[in-house]
Amino acid sequence: MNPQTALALSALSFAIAGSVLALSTYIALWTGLLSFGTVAFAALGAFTTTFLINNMDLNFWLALLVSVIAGGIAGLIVGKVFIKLATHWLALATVALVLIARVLVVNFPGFTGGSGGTVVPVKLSIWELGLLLIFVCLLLSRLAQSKFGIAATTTREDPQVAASLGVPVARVRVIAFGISGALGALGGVMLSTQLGYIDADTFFIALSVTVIASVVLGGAYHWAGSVVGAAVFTGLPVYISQFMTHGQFIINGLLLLVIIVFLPGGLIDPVRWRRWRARRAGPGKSSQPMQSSSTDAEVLS
Amino acid sequence: MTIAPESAMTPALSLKRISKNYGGLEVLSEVSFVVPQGSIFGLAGPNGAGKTTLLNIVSGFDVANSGSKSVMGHDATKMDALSLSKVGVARTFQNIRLFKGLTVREQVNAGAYRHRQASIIAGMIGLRSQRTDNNVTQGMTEEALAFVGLSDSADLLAENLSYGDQRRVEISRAMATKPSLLLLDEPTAGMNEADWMPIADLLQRLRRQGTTIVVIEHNMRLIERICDEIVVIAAGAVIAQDEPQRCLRLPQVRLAYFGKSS
Amino acid sequence: MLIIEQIINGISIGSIYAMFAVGFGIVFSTMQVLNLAQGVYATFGALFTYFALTLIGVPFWLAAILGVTGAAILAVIADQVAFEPLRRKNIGMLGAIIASIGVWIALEEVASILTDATPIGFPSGSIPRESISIGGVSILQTQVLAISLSAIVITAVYVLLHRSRVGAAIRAVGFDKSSAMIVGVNPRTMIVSAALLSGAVTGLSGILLVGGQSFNFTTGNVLLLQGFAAVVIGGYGSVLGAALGGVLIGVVQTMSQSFISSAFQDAITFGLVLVVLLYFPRGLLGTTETVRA
Repeated sequence: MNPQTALALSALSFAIAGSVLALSTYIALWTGLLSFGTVAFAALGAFTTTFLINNMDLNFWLALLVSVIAGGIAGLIVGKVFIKLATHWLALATVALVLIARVLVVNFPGFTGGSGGTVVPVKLSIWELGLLLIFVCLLLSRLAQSKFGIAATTTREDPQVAASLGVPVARVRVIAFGISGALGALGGVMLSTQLGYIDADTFFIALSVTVIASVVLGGAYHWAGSVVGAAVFTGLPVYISQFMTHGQFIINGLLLLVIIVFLPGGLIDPVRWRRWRARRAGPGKSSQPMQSSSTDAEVLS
Repeated sequence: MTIAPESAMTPALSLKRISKNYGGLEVLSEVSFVVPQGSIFGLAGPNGAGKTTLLNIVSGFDVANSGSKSVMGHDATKMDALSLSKVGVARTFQNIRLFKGLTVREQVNAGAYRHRQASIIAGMIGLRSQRTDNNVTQGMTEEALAFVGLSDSADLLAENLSYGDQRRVEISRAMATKPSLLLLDEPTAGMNEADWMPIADLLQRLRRQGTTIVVIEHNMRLIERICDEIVVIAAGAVIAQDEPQRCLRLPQVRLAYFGKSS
Repeated sequence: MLIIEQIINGISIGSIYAMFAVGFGIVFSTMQVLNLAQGVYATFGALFTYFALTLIGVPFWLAAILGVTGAAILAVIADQVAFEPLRRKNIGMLGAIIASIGVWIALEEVASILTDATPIGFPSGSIPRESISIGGVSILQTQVLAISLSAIVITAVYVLLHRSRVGAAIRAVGFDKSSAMIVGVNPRTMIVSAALLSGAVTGLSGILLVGGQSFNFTTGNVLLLQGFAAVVIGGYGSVLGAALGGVLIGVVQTMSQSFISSAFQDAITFGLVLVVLLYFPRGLLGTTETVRA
């Protein structure tokens, strides 16, 4: 295939892997928690899978399953431990987690290849990547329509009021962390198969920043935003690296600023669209006057 | 539904010597009163008296320094907002607190959350229990909407509604929880008679259904119209408790409100 | 002797961390703004100094002043371009953190371009390399400079924030902007002053960190991480706490580097951060700030 197509395909592959990582961060943000921890879970997933394949001859998909479950459990544990922190302190605690994770990666060479890194012998095709992404999107779409969706949204918007309506705020957040851990692990494996080689610096602050930027830029209020954001923040730089060697991050940084100031909800922002449609529909009709006694509604319990 | 005699004796809310201070500032001192089930109970008093703080403590949004409270016979002294919602407490707020970006229907639907039975996992996989939940809560939502007269505006963004309508959304959301004890913080603040009369009627309809209501209000006519009993709080302490008619004419109450006896 | 020298090394690097943490804390603790771009201001402090030395050829003390001034101005520009619009729209903490990330990555790339992504260093001869001997223990002149300069700057910041009217005004704005306005404080001026001050202090810490060694465009990130750890451990809201935290981290890191292994430094530092966040939220000297949900 010609180099243009190869590059486009590569960009798309990275965008898909980046989407899953972004969705891992999104689900925590959905409950109002900014977590930098996705890359730590990604490291867990990637190194676990690679270890199982290289050292225990396990089939890739089986190794992937184990890694995702491990990520989920790790996420639940982290969530349970961090839940008592207020939101911005929790964000900083997840930063500390990423830093500690890196040290762990460097210091257990038997498992991770240490500072030398390790080779990833599997490469997923674009179809396999796409299938995994679709699966994740279906899961999130399901969640959005379920009881979890209401719980998460209300927890994000006003946790005190949500609690007074019976939403178990802490439990919702811990569950979100569990899902974040599982998705982070999955995304980490997907990314590792595209890189072919991973080391301690693969899953570090730079990736963390990219992931968060993807979620915010794409739209932190809907899961589709993370996919769009990853396409821009992960895929685009790969594609335009052929045109400009420097300056990508300046553009990314400026883009982030512009979006947060003018479109704080990101590109995919259902709330903004709703407000827009409401404005176009014109002044709403005033509510009907309340009757002194309504017949159907009066339930004599 | 007939209320068995014994449970009819259990007060909806019982406060014993609730005190609260912030640093050196005493905001509530030894507040005690009992709210009978099925009544509309008023909390009156001048601004800054501590009424909202008291409501915050009752609803688990704040914690008293000393004293005890019980709701529907359950010892609620240590309960937070989540636990209190489970024993049937719901509330509205002095400064309207609706969820950003949600339509009226979605706000009220959130109120019905505690009636959902399916687990979160079931929700993820889409089991039948989830669908039953959705149907049940949908019914409750429509009912709560109709009760306050907002069925036609249900799909509008709550934040685009008029001030009075937003207060109705808040009440509707609290109603969707099917509370035993409903706490309202100045539900008719800033309203003229045409707007607050229907709210007064709504509260009386709620009372007929068996809901106990505690309402903070400055609107004296509203209080006299619907409250069975009121407590007057000034500078953090109870200065009077009685039927509204009698209470509002007591010299110490007039002093607290107007600064001199009339 | 070795241990004492290591402790002095630790105090020396720790006082640089302390200075950065204090500068970082001016905006973080006092104004409740988590500015992740602060580390890049440190990088630019060193960068501007480097350019002053190599392009203009002024003596080191003048180059350092230019570097500090440059970093301070950069901080103000970044604040007005990125954070001010957010303040006007009343976007919350999360939005501010994201914006600071945007500034961080954009500025870091600019630094990368300016240095051609290769390590650079102050020209030899501009920094004293000799050591002096106190009681048989040898300390580098640069270390003496770092420790004494940090002590002076940190004290000055403390005095400014807690004993001057400007400092009181800055803290008032951070605590409650509208109340501050009512008593006649111009919040915009105070916020710009805070940004200016923090930019200068962190810029200076960047210059001291680099000292006689080579550095690159990511150097400031080290300070950011250690600085934030210092603020957490030392106690949110306390200038002295941040300083203490910085020195503590410097000593712990140096000791663990010589006696355990250099790889575990970060784990110890951030393990400590987690422990403090979870179990001792006030840190060493912190104010009653809500860390718990």
